Amino acid sequence: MKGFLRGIVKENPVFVLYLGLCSTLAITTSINNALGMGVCVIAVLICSNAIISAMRHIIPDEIRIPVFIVIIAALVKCCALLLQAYIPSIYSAMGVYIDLIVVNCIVLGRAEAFASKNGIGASIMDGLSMGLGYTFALLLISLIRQIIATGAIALENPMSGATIFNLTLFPSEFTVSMFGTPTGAFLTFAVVAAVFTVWTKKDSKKAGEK
Amino acid sequence: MKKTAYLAIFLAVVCGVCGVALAGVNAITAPIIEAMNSVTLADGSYSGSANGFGGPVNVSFTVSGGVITELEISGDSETPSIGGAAIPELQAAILEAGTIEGVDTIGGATLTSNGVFNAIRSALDGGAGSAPVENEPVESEAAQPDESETESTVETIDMTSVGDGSYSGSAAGFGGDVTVSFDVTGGVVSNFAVVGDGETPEIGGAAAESIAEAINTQQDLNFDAVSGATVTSGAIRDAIDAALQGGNGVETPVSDETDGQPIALSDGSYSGSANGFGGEVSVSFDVTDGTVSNMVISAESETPELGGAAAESIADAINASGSLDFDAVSGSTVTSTAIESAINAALGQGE
Repeated sequence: MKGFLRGIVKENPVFVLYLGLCSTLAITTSINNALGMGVCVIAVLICSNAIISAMRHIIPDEIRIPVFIVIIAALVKCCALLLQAYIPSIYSAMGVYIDLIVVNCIVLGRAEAFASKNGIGASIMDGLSMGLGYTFALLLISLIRQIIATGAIALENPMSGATIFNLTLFPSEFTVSMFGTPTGAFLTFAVVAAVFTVWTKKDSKKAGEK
Repeated sequence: MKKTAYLAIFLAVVCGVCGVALAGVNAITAPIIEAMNSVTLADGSYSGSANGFGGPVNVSFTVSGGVITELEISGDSETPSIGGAAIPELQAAILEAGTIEGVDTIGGATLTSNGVFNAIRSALDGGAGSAPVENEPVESEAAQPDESETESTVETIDMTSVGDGSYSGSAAGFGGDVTVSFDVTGGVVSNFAVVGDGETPEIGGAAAESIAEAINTQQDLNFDAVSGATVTSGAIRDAIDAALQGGNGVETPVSDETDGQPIALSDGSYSGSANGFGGEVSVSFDVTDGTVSNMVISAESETPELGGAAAESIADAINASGSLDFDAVSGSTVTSTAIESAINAALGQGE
């Protein structure tokens, strides 16, 4: 359980390890996109960690990176095809960023740093943990950006496009549309990451004093 | 050398297995994706909406002879310089192609472009938030029975079962909540007013006005959905249902005083305000010896050519007659009702 929570808070891939920032900044315009991207990355991360962990004894060390990339690329493409077929709204909203999961540092990073050295069970847990940490980061940034940029929290059913809830917090006259653009993403990310650093540093200091 | 060959073969095998897996997934998903991307263009007029970059993108278009001939795209929430600029380009490209298949997204405005394509698709599918609005005149002659069928799927409200009283209710519309209020006397509807500030003024907003007018004229709560504003129309119906369920027979003598009965006027200056179609409507007037003068209505938030013009003509009518009774201006029912409410508010404060 401790290892599981590690990926979400202490080693959060986005706020602490600073991995996968490209997609984090690009996709966090709405909670819907963040959720879709997060679920995709969790699925890919779990599968790639499991496969790479299972193959860790037979993959020759010299070509491990190309092998990882081929496996990850195949998984991502499968994921993209399934999304395009079954949840087209998310597919079109995320566009090129689905395919870019291939080069998302989190996936390759966990394959190299964890799955190639640990057992299948632990690797799957690591994938889930890191994936959830990434999703959590996406949701947090997109929530802040969506509220500031549109003044409302909205969530849609990706299958039907029907609104699940739409809560207007303040009228649109007071929104800052800049937060819908990448500039806003950078600002939001910087502030949240700073808060996160303060928080996790405090934790580790306390642990050190004990 | 042996080692290199082993590495090459290993990588090739991994690639091969991945390739087979991909081919398998592709075999399952390809037919679904193809079915989704192909569009069948049946003749008729359509409207639909889908999410663009900053909010909903609305389209309305006409298909004749299997080709998109007329196309209107509105995306007010798109970044003006990017998505907004892409809209005319897209419109031209789609009209040139006659369809959306093979039309490329505009570079830099992918989300807006996809929003437009999705809106057109959803309109063609008759999916959520859209509906084929009306048939081409040629077809509609033959399709007369069909039309009545679609109407009957909407539950008809039995006016005789509606008890007397004042009702109000609201439901989610296209851009926000739509609120309706009306009075029922002996199964006859009067003072029907719709407030839907969140609706696109020129689409849902205009539809709300025309529906309110239709209901007030027919004195019946059943109305036809306005083409191009299906969501708003549906919301008004939902709001009516909510009002009927919630406010069953609740007597609120709000507007009873003004109904036909002269308002007792004591001398003095009055001012008051109430919500109109686009915002606040405020009135101010003086009463001298029971006669009204200096009636000024400020309705800057109302659509200038509708509610704004109505406010002026109502002010003129009141100043001319010296009485606060006036007829609602058709097409501007909401504004007219707001003026009435504002006058009532003013009288309430004056006393």
